[in-house]
Amino acid sequence: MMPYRDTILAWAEQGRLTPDQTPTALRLAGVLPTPSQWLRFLDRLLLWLSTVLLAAAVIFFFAYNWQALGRYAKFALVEVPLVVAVLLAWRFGLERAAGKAALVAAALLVGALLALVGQTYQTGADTYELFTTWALAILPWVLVGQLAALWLFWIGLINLAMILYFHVFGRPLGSVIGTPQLLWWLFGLNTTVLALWETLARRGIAWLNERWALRVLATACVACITVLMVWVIVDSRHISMTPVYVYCVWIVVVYAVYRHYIRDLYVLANSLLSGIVVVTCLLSRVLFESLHADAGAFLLIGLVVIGLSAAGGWWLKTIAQEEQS
Amino acid sequence: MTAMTPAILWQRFAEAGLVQGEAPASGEAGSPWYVRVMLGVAAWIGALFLFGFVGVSFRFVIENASGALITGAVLCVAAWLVFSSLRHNDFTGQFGLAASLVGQVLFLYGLFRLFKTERAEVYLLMFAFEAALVVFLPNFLHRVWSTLAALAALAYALGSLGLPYLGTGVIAACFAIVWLHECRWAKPASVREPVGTGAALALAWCDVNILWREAMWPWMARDGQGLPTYATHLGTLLTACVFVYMAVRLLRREDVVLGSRVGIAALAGSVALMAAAWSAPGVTAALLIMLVGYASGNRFLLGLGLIALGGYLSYFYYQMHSTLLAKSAVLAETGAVLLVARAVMLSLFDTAAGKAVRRA
Repeated sequence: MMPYRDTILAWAEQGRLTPDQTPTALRLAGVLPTPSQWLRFLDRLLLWLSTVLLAAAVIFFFAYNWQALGRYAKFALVEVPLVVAVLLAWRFGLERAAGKAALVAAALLVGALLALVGQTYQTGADTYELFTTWALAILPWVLVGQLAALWLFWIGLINLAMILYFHVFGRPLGSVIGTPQLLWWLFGLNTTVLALWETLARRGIAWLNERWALRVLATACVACITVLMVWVIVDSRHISMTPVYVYCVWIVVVYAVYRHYIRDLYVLANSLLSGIVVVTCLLSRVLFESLHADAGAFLLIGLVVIGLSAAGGWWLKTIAQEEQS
Repeated sequence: MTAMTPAILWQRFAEAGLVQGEAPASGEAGSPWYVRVMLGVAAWIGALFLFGFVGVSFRFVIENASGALITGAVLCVAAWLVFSSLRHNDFTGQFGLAASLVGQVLFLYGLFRLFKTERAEVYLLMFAFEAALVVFLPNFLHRVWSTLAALAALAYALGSLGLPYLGTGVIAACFAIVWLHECRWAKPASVREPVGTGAALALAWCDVNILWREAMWPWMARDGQGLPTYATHLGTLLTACVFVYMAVRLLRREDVVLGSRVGIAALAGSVALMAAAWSAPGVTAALLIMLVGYASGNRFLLGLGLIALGGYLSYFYYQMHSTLLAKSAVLAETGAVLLVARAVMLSLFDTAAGKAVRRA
């Protein structure tokens, strides 16, 4: 939400601004976009949306596997747009939005091309190999693209390849064995990337300083470590305490970094919710399984969750107010 | 804008002749959206355990319809008392929210037990119940949730009446009306803001959800008959009309004459986009959320629109009503229209700002 949007609307609600004056006030405060901001926004929106939709159209087309179309025609249909996209990226230059959009389109089309190769020649490759090859093939473009969204897409491909790899090889002893290992790998990968990204962003690489992308990564990290902790609590055969230690360290580091150093309330709120989930699971395990408690346990856990979230909400609001003042 | 405070802002407004007198005392600032999301999710977890407590301790409540209905209503009244009497207490706020969620689940459960089927009456009653909660229960998160639940119930009611796609259009209309008139309806901000957010969430939900619900219609449609052909187009038409209405409102707000070159191009572009994306109405709905979000300076809506678009495209891939080839053609058409619209827009704004955008 834009700063002071709520304040101005609150003044309007108190009658200090009339309905006719409110838009002028919002515009004066920079809440409503100016014509030039509108132009810039629409330019970016139309450019990126059309890029995504056109690339999705190509992917949908090849997923259809149209038998009436010959092999060479199919390759031409994906290779020609790919070459055009690369040429456009070169023509516009990667410092311009149009050049970056063309590069993203090219990166997406490489996936369609690899899928077509697998479809046509029946290579017998596993799905994880497709995503790994895709990630490797577009790595040079990701490196030169200087675009947070493209990096995030690339990390998403690696995550997906890892998940698919474990789907094939990670479960020799049943589905239970593979999942914690996979979660450890995903947690390790995403946490390393998050730490590197934050460090480089703090060192002044402007295009990396995109909070939304860092928040997506932080969410992935919190999700992985939370599921691991829940796994430890729920699975009675689990005897390793490693996830507990890692979780505690993670929470302390998140608090120190995002409360005092970087100040990102989103990551703190995320971690707080993770803490509530973990406490809920722990209490459920202790009360229902170990103590065989009944209805009272439901009430107790419900009240604890409500109490923790209320206290957490109050704490986060206090920090938000501190930052505003 | 550097180091702006409410006092400086007020002074600036006074200099511009917008306000007079002393600056009002700054009230309690609203929480960021992610804090509200955290509180909402935690309230649901708490509600699940409270529901377990009610289910185990008061089994008779869930064994008959009237017991569930009465208990549900009583819990919602209790939540109203908590919200009204202890408005600024964080713990009681969360407790009231969780208690009301349990009450709503019990009320819905009671309705299903009473009618013994998924008929439109059940959803219409649920819509009325949730709408009443929006009006009477003074809590931001509660109003967001109740708006979402009310509009979802309305969409299901329309679906049960044989008009499944109309729900998206009706929700889009509610969403656009609330957000595009926020300055005119500034007075009940404590209602307008959460209702607008709930409508946005309902639109994003309906956008994706309409696809899997499609598989349910043969079962839900009355007498086992198929849906009338116009039923599938009504919702899309209404959403398209809402999109054009939004374009008109925003053009007027920016003092663009509708008959001018820019006005005609914007309206023609909107109509062309609606026509191209006719078979993929989720793209239109997501775009509506994004544009309204940007127009009102609300980044949450902007992000929600992006998520709705991603979710819609993922579900669109698996949709069974047409082939991937046909869907590919729809996406290509829509993408091409957007590219042409961009080119036209940049050529129309052959100003310094337009040139700067082209260079960026």
